[in-house]
Amino acid sequence: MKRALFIPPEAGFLKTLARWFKEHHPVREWPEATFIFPTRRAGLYFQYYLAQELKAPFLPPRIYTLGDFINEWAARLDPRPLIPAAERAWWLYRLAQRPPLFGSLSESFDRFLPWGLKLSEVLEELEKEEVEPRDLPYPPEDLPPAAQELLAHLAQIGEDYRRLREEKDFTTPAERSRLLAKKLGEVLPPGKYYFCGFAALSQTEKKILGHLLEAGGEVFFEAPMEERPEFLEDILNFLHLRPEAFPSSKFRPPRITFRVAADVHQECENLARLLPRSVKAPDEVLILLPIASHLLPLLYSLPSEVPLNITLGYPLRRSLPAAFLLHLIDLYEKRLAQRYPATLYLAFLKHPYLRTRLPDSPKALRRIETRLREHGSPYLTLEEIEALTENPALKEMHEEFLRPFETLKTPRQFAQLLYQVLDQALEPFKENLKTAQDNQDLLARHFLWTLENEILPLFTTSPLADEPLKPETLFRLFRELLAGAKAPFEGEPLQGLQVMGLLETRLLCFRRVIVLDANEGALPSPEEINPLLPEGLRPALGLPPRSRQEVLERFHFFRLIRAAREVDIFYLSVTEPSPRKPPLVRSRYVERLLWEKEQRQRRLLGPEALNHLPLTLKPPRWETGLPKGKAEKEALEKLLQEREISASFLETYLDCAAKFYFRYLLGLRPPERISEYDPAELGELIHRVLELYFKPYQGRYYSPAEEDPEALLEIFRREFRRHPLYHRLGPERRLFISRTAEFRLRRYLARLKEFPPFQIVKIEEEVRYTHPQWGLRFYGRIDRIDRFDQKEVILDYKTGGRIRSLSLKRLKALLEEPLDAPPTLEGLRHLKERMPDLQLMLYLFLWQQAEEAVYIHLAAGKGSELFKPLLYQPPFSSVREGFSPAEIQKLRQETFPKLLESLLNHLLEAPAFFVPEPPPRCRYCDYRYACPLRRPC
Amino acid sequence: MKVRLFQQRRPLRLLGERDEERLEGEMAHLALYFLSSYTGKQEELEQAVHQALALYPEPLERREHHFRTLVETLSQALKEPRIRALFKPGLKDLREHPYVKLRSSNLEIHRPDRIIFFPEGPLVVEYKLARLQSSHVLQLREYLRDLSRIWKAPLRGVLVGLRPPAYREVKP
Repeated sequence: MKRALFIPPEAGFLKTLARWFKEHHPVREWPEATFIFPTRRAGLYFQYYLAQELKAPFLPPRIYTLGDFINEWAARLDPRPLIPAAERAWWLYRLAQRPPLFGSLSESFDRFLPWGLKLSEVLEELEKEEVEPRDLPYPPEDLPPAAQELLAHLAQIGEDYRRLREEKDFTTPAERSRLLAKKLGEVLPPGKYYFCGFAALSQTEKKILGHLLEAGGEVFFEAPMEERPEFLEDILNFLHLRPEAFPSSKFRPPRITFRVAADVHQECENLARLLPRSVKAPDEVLILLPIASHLLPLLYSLPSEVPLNITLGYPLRRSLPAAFLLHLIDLYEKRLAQRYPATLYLAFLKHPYLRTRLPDSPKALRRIETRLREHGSPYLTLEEIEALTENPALKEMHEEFLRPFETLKTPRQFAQLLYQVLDQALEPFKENLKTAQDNQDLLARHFLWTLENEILPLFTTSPLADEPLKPETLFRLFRELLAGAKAPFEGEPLQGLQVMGLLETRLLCFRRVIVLDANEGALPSPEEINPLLPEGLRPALGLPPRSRQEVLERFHFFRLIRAAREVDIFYLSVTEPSPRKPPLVRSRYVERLLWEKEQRQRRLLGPEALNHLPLTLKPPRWETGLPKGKAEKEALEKLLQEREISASFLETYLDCAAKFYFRYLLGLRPPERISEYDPAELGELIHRVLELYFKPYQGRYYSPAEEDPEALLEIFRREFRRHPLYHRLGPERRLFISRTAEFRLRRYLARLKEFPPFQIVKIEEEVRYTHPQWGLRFYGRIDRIDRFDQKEVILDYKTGGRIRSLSLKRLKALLEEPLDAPPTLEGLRHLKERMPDLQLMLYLFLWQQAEEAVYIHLAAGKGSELFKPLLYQPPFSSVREGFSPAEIQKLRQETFPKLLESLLNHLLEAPAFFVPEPPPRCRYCDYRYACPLRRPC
Repeated sequence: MKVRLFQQRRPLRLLGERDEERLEGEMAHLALYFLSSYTGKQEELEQAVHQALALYPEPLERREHHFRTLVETLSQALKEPRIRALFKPGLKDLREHPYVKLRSSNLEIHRPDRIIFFPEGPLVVEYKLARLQSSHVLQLREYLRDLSRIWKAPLRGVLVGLRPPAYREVKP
């Protein structure tokens, strides 16, 4: 029975191994030995420790990673090349197209691709575990239908796939592993093989290890002898190995400090304070970065000139070159009949790769933006943009970046186009990228390398390269590949301070370890579940239970901690503002470390066990309003004297006095935005349509029961077709808006049929009134005035939004309340509550002969809510206990004028332009960028 | 961002840093790594080139072209008797085996293409795909200097050019 030596993490695995190797083997024999490690870094550090032991030049043993070892020896036995996962998915797609399998799945490659990638993973795993694929005729019903379909035919797929690999002359990593598991013993020369520091192994890997042991090898694991994890126990049993503890002295547990931060920036800032001034050895300090995307905040927080080595995979899709290509694709894809969305187009021009291409940029950019805004159309053809902007550089850019997409047919053309686009876009930056003096350029090179070598070649040289595919399929394929790709930041592992992801730290040990983001969701990382292979299905397919990712991560994390002398663990403790996000909680690993500490100290730890980083935030002190000085007061008085006071003027003040200040006192126009659809425009159109429809009846009776709604709809259709909105809208939206408007107009006329004939008195009537005491001029434009049974009624069309109005009960209460409003924020709030339908109040004030005012709420959700009368009078209201004539008189003669007067007094006398509480929806305010009081709502 | 980053610089085609010749140079080195011995049979060469190319996963542009070019290049080079002598069956050697040295506490790892153990002493061999240059001589001399410290005796070196075939002995 061979032995397996267990080196405890505290001893420092690689250092101990190097010392042991030096003690047991003369240096001249070193080149004859072969070491196999899980990572290249481990091999490098091993050589570093050998060099430290020897202090002289030497020939080290031959060092492999298991992957490199398998590739080299398998290539000797069977020189078929490997193909990448996306290409495997393509071949599986071709297999899936053969009848009678997978009718629905095999319709298009973009639909099949995500399943193809997962299926390829399943077949790889079966191969690695030396399990023949078998059909699952009755797959679990809770699996997605596509998964059920594939699993039901797995044996056939597996067999066809094996034959296809031979026929097409390619292989896969798992097939190589299986080949070597079978034949390595036949070709491997005897020698000193050391299999070092592995964790979980597949069946084929265990057999490869078996061959190495037979050829004279030894095996070393990094784990405490007394706490051997299950996956190592499994290897011992399979190979009949006898565990043996590596002789080592007792070690002190590391000193661990838990640091609680509010956000990643606070973590990074405090981390920077823990770093030594210089780093002399590569195993001195490690920053463990479980969330790769926090790399940039970290780099920006570290002191200048800190020598730093980064070893981790950074998500490619977050890089500038990838974002540029995705933006370009997005722009092309979101076209409507050759018309490009103007906002996306402008954002594309402003991309860092392009904005310097325009001569006289950024002035030129501003000019282009102004022209497009002035034009107003949210979608434009490239020809229209060229004509509008008169900038020849744009035409050139269109030729280079956009027009070539129009002739795209195959993956090869797509890749060539993207390469050409990158080549042209990067032209001004190439010199900097070559010298890479700047860190950003240094990192950008990794992204470009990954695009150039791992993504684009899949489109040019794989068997699908010349398959005619739709652009959408190509785009989806590109996005899918990009989503899974990571740019390998490979540094010089033996230099400076080390920044790594958890898996990159395997077998390494550091004097000080600083862990960032030790929160659930990051440590352990979210487990990826293959929907084709849930855990419960593994026995049915003959697969052993999976060594779960979490178990392995836990193993790697705790060995790293145990191997350190000093550990600083940062985690975030913060409540997410969004209720949809779960609160951030510290990692289960932190919990375990705290629990272990409690056990050692035989007491419950108090709050002193955690180091809460002091947070000195200065929360914004929300002012309640923009102060109103003498100048503002004078300007206000002048404004009231010079202009006519309208309902929207007063409503703006009630809504937000600060907004009133910007709009009316400063006279700032709301910014012009490019948008396909503006509801206000549709509102104007509907007003116009109703005006045209009722105009012939002005001064006459209108009998609703006798009218055909088609006449109104015909006017609407005609006016809509003439309106610029019609031409600007996309076909789907145009249809939707048209149908909605027709429905609402038809519903309105249908409701009118419940009314007796009435007289139409005025249409679009402008009314003015000068108040004799206040000396102020009021103005209103009334949509329509009807006469019902000798009573005039003011009608106001509302085409959108919610209508606020006072209930009958509340109106009655108003009759008894004091109506003065102090010139305070509270006073403004009172006024706002009492005048939700200020417009109708003002109209009754201006058109005294009317006895009722009604909103016609065309956009009301229910037909019963179509009419909203202010005074609850028939025929628009059927309430029985309405107002008495005396109450109505009091409302109109005293209450409404008093409220109006209070509002005007507030406007003049308030010491500030208040932002009401609760704040209005500042996010949508036209003046949000100008207003210092905007709230983050 | 003012930190001093240590990052590898992989050659980029977009910046004109990757060319066919560099790639074929890598492939030729790998093929010679796999060529255990050469008795003049074409199959021996073809097998070694196949094995070398098997380490380049798909997608590899012009795989077939690379195969033919490499077989042709190596077969021409191995017609030179002194080069062919380096592939006599039964020679003991180290291939692509690194040596390690510390320079001002930094680890340096170098990888001579081949060290052949002749009875008269080790011979360090460096393959070059293109025409031999003086920089190649300097590189090999450095290897010889370092390796002499390991063997505690002077070593011989030879530069082998593959395209066109060339053989140049280099003294320490």
